[in-house]
Amino acid sequence: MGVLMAVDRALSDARRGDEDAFDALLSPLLDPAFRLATVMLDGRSDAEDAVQEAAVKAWSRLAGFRGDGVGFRPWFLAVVVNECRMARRRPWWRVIRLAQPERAGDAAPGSERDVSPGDVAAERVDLARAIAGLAEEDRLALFLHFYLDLSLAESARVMRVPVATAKSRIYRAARRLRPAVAAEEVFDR
Amino acid sequence: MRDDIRRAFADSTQAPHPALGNAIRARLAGRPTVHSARPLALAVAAAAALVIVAGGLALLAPRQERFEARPAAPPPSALRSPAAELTPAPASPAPAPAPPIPAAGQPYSCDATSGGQAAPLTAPVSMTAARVGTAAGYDRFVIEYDGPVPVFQVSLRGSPTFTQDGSGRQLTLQGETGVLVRIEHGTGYPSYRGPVDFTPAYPALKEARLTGDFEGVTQWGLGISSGRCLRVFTLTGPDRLVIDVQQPD
Repeated sequence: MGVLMAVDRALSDARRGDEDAFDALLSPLLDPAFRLATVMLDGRSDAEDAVQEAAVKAWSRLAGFRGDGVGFRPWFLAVVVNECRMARRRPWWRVIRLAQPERAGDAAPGSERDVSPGDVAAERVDLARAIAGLAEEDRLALFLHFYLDLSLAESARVMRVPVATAKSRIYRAARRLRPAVAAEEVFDR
Repeated sequence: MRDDIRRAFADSTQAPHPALGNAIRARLAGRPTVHSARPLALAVAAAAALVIVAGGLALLAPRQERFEARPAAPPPSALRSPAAELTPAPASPAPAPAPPIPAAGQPYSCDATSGGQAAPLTAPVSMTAARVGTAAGYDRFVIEYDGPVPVFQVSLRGSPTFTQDGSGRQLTLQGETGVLVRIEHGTGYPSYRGPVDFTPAYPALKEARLTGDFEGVTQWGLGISSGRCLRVFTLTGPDRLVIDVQQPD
């Protein structure tokens, strides 16, 4: 309860133009927002740009945010999703990037080998690849519901679709990863 | 299935660069919200209506402002622009000569190590790469720069919990103890586009995470297994700071 009251107060202060209050609201959301942006966009740079733009827009639109039963978190994530969609629609000459050549590891001393953070067990790699192969909207649905642990209503809000659409999209995406999965396993709460 | 998908997303996505929050703060500093801008717009409209109604009289009568110009509020101390990072601190004492840096092959030490060169404030050195690796007897963490390795301090910590600069958030890394790597004026934003969180789970080095890039100070936290000592040195071609963590016997 105390946390909720603190969030409400920060929200109220931020609406009045208190930058520190907005910072307190936004800081815990930068990690999920950035990860969300990387799910939708290629590369850290585009994701950082999208989160920055979303933060600026959220700040400028904060006075219009009334809650309406939806918390600040899904509201801001919805702004991020919208910004990512806009980034994907930009002309190709604004988003195309040259491939970055891989750097060789340090030659001396010792024989260290570079390690990718995604260097994990094979089955996890397979699942990650399968997720990467999904359509963007399906990937987004899974990320919101499973990784960010958003409820169906919150996921629907972020995707800007009806709850029933969000539910079918999440279930469809889950079945593309595991065709035999039951609905109860996907929506277990 | 929920846990599997969560792990897959955790592996395939990365935490943001710590300086992202600072970049956003810098963009927001002084920028009005719609809320604070709305009275201004209404006041402008009201003033315009008065001008129309009063006609030429308004030109003759002393004009009364219907709104107060909002002075640009200075940003809070926490909201510094990136340029502020380049502002030299007043009356800072002359830097002490750096102690000698142990070369590769020297014994491991559990004492704090410092070194590096003070980069000119007008031409700060940028972090361009970071990586982890393992070899017989040690695990390695490397930070690469586009110039001489800036002033750094490397010290062992009693726990793998670090405070994220800027946000103040507590980050607990994998491992039993920690290593704090502090670099002055060697920012990684926006030059560094690589991972900010490595979880190699080596014998000694369990995790390396960028815990801060704030006001000119970059910090990496290392989570390591307990009882490990370090070998810290610099290399050139390219310039890099190397931290070897001694593996268990």
